Amino acid sequence: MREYQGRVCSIAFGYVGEQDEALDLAQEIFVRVWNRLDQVTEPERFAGWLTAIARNACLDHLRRRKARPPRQDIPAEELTNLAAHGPTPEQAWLANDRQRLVHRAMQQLSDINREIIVLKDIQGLPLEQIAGMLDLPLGTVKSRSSRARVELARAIVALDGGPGGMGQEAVS
Amino acid sequence: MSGRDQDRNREFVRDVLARTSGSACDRACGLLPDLTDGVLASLDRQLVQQHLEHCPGCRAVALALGWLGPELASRAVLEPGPGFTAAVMARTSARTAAAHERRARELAATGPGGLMDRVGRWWQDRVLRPGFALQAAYAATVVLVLLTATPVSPLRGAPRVALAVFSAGPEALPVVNEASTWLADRTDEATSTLVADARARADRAGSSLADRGARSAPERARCAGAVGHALTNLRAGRFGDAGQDILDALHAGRTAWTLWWTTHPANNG
Repeated sequence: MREYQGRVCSIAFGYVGEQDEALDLAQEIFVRVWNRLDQVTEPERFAGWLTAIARNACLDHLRRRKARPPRQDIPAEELTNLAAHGPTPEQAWLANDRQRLVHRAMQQLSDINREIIVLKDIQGLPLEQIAGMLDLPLGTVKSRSSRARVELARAIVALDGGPGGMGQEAVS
Repeated sequence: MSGRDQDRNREFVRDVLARTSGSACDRACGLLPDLTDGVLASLDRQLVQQHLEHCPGCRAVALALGWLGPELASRAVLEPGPGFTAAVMARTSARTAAAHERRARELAATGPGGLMDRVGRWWQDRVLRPGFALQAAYAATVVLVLLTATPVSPLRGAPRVALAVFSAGPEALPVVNEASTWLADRTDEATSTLVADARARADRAGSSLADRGARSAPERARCAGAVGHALTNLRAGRFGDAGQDILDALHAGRTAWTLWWTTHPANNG
């Protein structure tokens, strides 16, 4: 489990964008995996199987999140207890300005573009596997992947204050 | 210029026009991912690079795409921190325990134990109801009437017998009489057997004493005669004869003692 927990957390965080939800969701994903381990007949394909389960769990979670009412405020004393556990994963996962910038830009993408970014550019899955996972033609996935990257780059430029922003300085 | 060269020039112009018509920024941005990945064809690469030299907006997007790839790839693994594994294990353990408990409940509900539990819960629910006593009395009355008071009731003679018992005592019941007679007979038999055994034991004891007396009687008489002779000889001063008589008396006494305690006369030597 330790071998894959970082990858699962990354997928969950990419889909939901909030650290608490991502951690809860990652736990739920591993519980699902644990409940369905008997379905694994080819160990060499475990990673792909795990990614598919994680994606389905994330989509289920997003559907439930859209259907349920907004969260209630957490009492102040509980916030104190949470703060006592050290740095939050979001603080660790978004350690610098560029990571926070990318994270904010990811939240502005459409669901499908964000999903393709998570699967293709973050997890590095082959386009053929993504096409099978999304049940789309390979050409469609490839063109959507290009558009998603451009959309994300444009969002970054817009959030960064246009040409000459932080991202440009860091690269140039 | 030959005709072949003219065709090649027309084809080149057509391709350039096809790649430069419409919104230049949209077309350039559409090609930027391939440019970043290094898979863009030579002509397109030249056109896009020329566009980028004069378009700050598209250049910013291109620069962002340049560092975005490695940045996104670096986020493939986000460690959740300590406690995550323990939390997952706790959830799976809790689900395992819940599943086992649910399975046990299902098995119990389908087995004999589950049936007894359901009957027990049903009975407890009924007993705790306020009107249970009245309902139970009504139900018992109906059952009694059906069992005893209709022409086809299996126990229709029972009330008459019960009335006779209450009015005349237990002796009114034939079965009670039979039981009493049987018990009296058995008691008499037991008493007779005990008395006969006691008498036989007493007879055997009396017979044994008489036999012992008869067996030892001659030796006891001889012993007594020897003692009498010994006393006579002592008075007469014949001490030698008196000693012989005393020895005879002792011998006869020992023989009489042996015959008395010996069960079978044949054993007596």
